[in-house]
Amino acid sequence: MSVGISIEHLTHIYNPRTPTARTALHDITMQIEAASCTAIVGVTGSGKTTLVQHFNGLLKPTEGSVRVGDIEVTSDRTRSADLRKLRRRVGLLFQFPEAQLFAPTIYDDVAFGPRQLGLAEAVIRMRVIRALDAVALDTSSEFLQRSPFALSGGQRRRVALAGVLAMRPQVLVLDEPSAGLDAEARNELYARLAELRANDGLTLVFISHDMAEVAALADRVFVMAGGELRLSGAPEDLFRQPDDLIACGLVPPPLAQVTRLAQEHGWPAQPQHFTPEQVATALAAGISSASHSSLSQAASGSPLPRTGEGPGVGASNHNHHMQGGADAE
Amino acid sequence: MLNNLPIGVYIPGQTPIHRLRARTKLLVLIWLALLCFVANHKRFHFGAYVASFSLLALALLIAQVDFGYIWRRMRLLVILLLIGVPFSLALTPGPTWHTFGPINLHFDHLLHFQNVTIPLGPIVVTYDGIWFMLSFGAIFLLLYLGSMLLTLTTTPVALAEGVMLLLRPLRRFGLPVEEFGLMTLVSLRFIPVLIQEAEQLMKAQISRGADFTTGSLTARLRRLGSLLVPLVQGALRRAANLSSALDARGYGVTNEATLLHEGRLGLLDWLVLLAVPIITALAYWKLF
Repeated sequence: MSVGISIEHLTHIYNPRTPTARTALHDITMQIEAASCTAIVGVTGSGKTTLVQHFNGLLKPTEGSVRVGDIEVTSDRTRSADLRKLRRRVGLLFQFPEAQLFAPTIYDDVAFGPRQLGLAEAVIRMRVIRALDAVALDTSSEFLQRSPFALSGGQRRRVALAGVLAMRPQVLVLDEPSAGLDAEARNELYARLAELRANDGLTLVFISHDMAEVAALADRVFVMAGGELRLSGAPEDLFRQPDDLIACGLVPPPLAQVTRLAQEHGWPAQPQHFTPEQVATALAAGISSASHSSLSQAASGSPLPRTGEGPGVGASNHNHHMQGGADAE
Repeated sequence: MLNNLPIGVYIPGQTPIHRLRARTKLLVLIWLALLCFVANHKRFHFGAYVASFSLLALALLIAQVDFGYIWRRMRLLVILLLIGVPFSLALTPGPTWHTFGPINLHFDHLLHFQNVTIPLGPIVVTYDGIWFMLSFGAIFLLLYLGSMLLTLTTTPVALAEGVMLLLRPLRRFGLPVEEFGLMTLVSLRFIPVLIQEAEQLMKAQISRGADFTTGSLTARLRRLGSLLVPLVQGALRRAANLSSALDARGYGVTNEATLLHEGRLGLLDWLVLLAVPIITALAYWKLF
């Protein structure tokens, strides 16, 4: 049931044929695999939001085409029935969606989409409850009748996400989903997204400024700059060559920088280690080899020795020891 | 969807027209409108109109405004004026220029039992009718093109400051000009923000299957409601934030506020302010 998105030579010009005409996207070609998790990154104004608004037909290409499954959107007149089908297939959650709630009750807000589909009320109720469940919100009828404006910002964002999920999309596009959330709400969101992907086979696309988030979630990254697609690839490949990222105004996630610097200092961590787990494992491996032999041996590029210790467990314990070793060198 | 609003949009530029103070442009526009209105009383004297339109055309050229863009913006006005032409021609009393008709319209077997003849006319076109059509058409076009040029070449903030400066003498009569100016500035500042926000909300709801372009009137009104709730809520939130920000910076209208954009009039401003009235007034009194 999963579908991907295929974009060919997409160009978008805002206000064409007026003095305020502005080319927001220029000749973009990209493939988003079905059931993948794709991150789109770039500095502010690089065209990320404009790009994702093509995915569900909110914007039409000035040139080129966007294809989602068997629906293709081009600059020509696309049939409105096709657009409706496309919007059902691709759910789009905007930036700061909590400001876009409008209904008097949480139930009504989440039910807005299904109601537009003309479903029976019993089916709508089922969908609402499933969607709220998927974002780990209360599904009691008392909660459903509360006003969304009485909730906290994080909860309101989850209601908004439920509103999109209630449309049962096959592709979920999120524009900076974690912006302004606290650490706990962030982890909660990541867990929900991972769950959705695993259970429903959703194709996930998200825009992000947080490279650590990209590193943790995405299996493919597209880097935009000045309305063009500059880089693409797996996160580990992109973070290995930070110069290309920096040229696009971005910086690799802190842990990737740490491992790269550590490697320059002769530590066995590799630049493709950028999640806490990977770094911890590498450190633990380095420590155990350091305690067995000399440091220089570990730095000479030999493959990481596997140890019996659990990953990450030894890392904090031996932290001081390791620090001392680095100073001694 | 919403970027087709017929509001003149400021287009940044460095032409002499852009550099003129907002109040210079405002005064010139007011002068031209008044003059053309007064000139309306001298039947078939085109001097003032020819001079005003020449100056306006010159200004449009200097400001490097795209003429295709102007035409797209003024199409509607031209259509409206054309619709008004037969009425102004036919319904103005005065000395006759030409009489059309009467035309008798025959309807044979109307309602199956009777032949009906409806006399249409006679339509009397008067000299006054022709002059009325020409002069008021010209005044409308002048005001429309002039104010379009004004908004195209003046930032909204400078414009509001210009209005405020021109109204300043009224403070003596107890009119709260400064407060009025601040209100104008703030509302001008909020228009694009609100348009953008409404657009965003519409997009979010279209993404969830809403359809703003079809459906019955009640359905559309209901959809408008789902748009207005978050829009008004957002506007109130912004207004509250803005007033806190103003308070935090110690902004009060008790002191005379200094202006950011409307500085002293420059040489160019004085030249324009002198040249335009002289040229047009001469054209009015001496020519034709």
